[in-house]
Amino acid sequence: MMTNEEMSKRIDLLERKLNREKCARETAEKALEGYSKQAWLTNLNLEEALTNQTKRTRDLEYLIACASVKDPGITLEDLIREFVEISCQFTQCSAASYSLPSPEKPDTNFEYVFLMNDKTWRREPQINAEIQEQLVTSEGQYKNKNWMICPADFKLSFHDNPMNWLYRFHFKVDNNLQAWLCFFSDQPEVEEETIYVLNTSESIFLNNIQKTLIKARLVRRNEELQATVKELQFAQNQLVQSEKMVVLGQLAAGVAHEINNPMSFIKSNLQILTDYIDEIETCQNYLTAKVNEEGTIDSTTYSQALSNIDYQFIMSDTKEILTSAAEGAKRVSEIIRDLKSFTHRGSGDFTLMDLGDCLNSAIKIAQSGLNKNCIIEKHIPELSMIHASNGQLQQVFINLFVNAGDAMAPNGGTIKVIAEETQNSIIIRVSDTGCGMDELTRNKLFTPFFTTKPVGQGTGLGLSVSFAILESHEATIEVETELNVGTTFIVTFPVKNL
Amino acid sequence: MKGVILVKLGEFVESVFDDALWDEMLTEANLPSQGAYTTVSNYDDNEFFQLIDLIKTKKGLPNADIQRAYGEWLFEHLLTLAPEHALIIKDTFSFLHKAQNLIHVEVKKLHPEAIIPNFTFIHQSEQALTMRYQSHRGLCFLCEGIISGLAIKTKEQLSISQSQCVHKGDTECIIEVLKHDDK
Ligand code: HEM
Repeated sequence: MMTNEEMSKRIDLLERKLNREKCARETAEKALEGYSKQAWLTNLNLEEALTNQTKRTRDLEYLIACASVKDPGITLEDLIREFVEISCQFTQCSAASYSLPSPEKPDTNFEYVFLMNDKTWRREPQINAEIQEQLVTSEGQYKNKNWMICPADFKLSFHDNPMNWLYRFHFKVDNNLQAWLCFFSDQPEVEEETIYVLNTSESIFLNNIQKTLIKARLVRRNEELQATVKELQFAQNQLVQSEKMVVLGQLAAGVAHEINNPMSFIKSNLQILTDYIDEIETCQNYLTAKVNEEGTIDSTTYSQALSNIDYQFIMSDTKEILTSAAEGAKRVSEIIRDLKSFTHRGSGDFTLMDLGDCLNSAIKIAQSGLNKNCIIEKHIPELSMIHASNGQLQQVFINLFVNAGDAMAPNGGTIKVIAEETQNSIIIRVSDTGCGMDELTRNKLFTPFFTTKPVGQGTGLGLSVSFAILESHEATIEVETELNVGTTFIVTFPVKNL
Repeated sequence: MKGVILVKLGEFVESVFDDALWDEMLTEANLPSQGAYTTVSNYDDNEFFQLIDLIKTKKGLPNADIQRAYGEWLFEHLLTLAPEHALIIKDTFSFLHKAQNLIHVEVKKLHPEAIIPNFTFIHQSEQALTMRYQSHRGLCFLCEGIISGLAIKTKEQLSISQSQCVHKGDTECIIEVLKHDDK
């Protein structure tokens, strides 16, 4: 049993204990409150960090979008539009516009507006005036590198809310013209971070602009070059054609003679035929009169009449005359055909053709123009068909023959034309027994306007034009020459198995 | 010092002696906290040392023995604070490593204001472990006690001593733990 004194002592102790417990509880509760407040603050911080993170992600996504130009061949205008669209979205602006001057239209002119709410471009007739006015009033305000972000207070005709901010940005395009970008924001404020990000996107954008400009310049230069090449090709065709005419001129006398010859004997043959017809008619008339007079004629009278005009001879001669006239006509038409194919203008028309035929007709044309004491010997076997221009190659060969003839003047000699086919090429040799060439001549052989002929006789273009023609046929030409012995031109054509 | 160490000291005194002694000690010591300890608060280290000293004078026991006894009693209670995955106790030696490398690290993370001793394991074999105890608090005897509390849990026969101790004038405390096979 506890005494009273002990009891009250115990009660005091328990009271103190209780007090301490109370105290401890209060402390604990306070600590708990502190903790929960801290937890709340921490949570707040975390939320803020998350928002920041989301913003940074947005910044990055925007910058990446700026850097990745989808189409490498994009035009300057499309590049600008793309940048305006994504930047408008990023800055949460309500609308944006741009001015892209060109040498034809050098003035600053805003024509199209990008509207954020329906994400479309619209042509707005009054936008230019409205923006120009803002550009003037915002002049000289807060400047941040190329971006200028100016507080504003104005209304755009196509947007309900008043605009609080104007973002403007200009840069140089070709010919030192100034392009402009303008963004309009109805947001109450602009975040500082946004400005930093815009400064970064700006350099990316300018870099893309630079690239696009350079590309456009290259494309333009390329087009110019192609036009020049076309002009040159045209000029070369002209040259080939006129060179052809020169050769034709050189040949003209010979060709005329060649045509005249058969023509004159056709003419004299026709005269003889007319005489024969006359005689036969006279005979016919005599015999008819005789029959009318006497009712009949005897065979002696008939034979006598025929032998009087030498009927037998007339008939056999007439046959001969007709044959040779037909031959003459054929000859003339052949010459004309060859000349036609030679002068034919379709210079670059490559067809599947027989080099042998081409050589033969070239020989025919050239022969008529050559000196009488020049003999052409040919050895042309059956050759594979090749893709080539008949007219151009005829020109080349005729040129070679004419040159060979000239080299052998005035005494004449033999021109040998030998064709030969190997595994993958056709080789044509044209050799003469002429004067040959010295080193100097040989080296200048294919130079335009170089000629050994007296002034007025050669253009000096022949071989260089031939050379160009052969080149376009992927053929090569070589020369072997010895002074006072002769010259051989060797032309080699590739044969592609068709 | 974390409140848990002082709250548990009160429970220790009340269970080994009685609540009258704890009340007497607190009344006499007249500490800033008035002994209203909670586990969630921190207290001046001195309160702990004063209370240990009071037990010493009132019960005539050496300071070291009090700390050892408290440590041995404390270990089981510390376990309730430990992260769950740390609670698997294989044997004393491995758990000492775990206390240094995992448990105290986690404690420090949860309570940055806690002051945690540093253990350096100098030598270890099947039977013996030598570790350096470092703390400006110099609670090496408490540490010895905690280790013997741990040994009770693992049912290992251990002898725990210090070959060097700052309280004997050495520069550091080296705790030697020896295992006896007579299980
Ligand atoms: C169950 C696992 C354990 C837990 C949860 C734990 C937790 C703690 C906590 C909360 C403190 C108080 C820190 C402060 O505020 O001052 C402490 C101190 C201490 N612990 Fe542990 N501990 C554990 C295991 C151990 C073990 C196994 C040892 C023995 C080697 C140990 C030795 C100590 C010592 C000596 C202190 C006193 C502080 C000092 O010396 O400076 N602990 N521990």
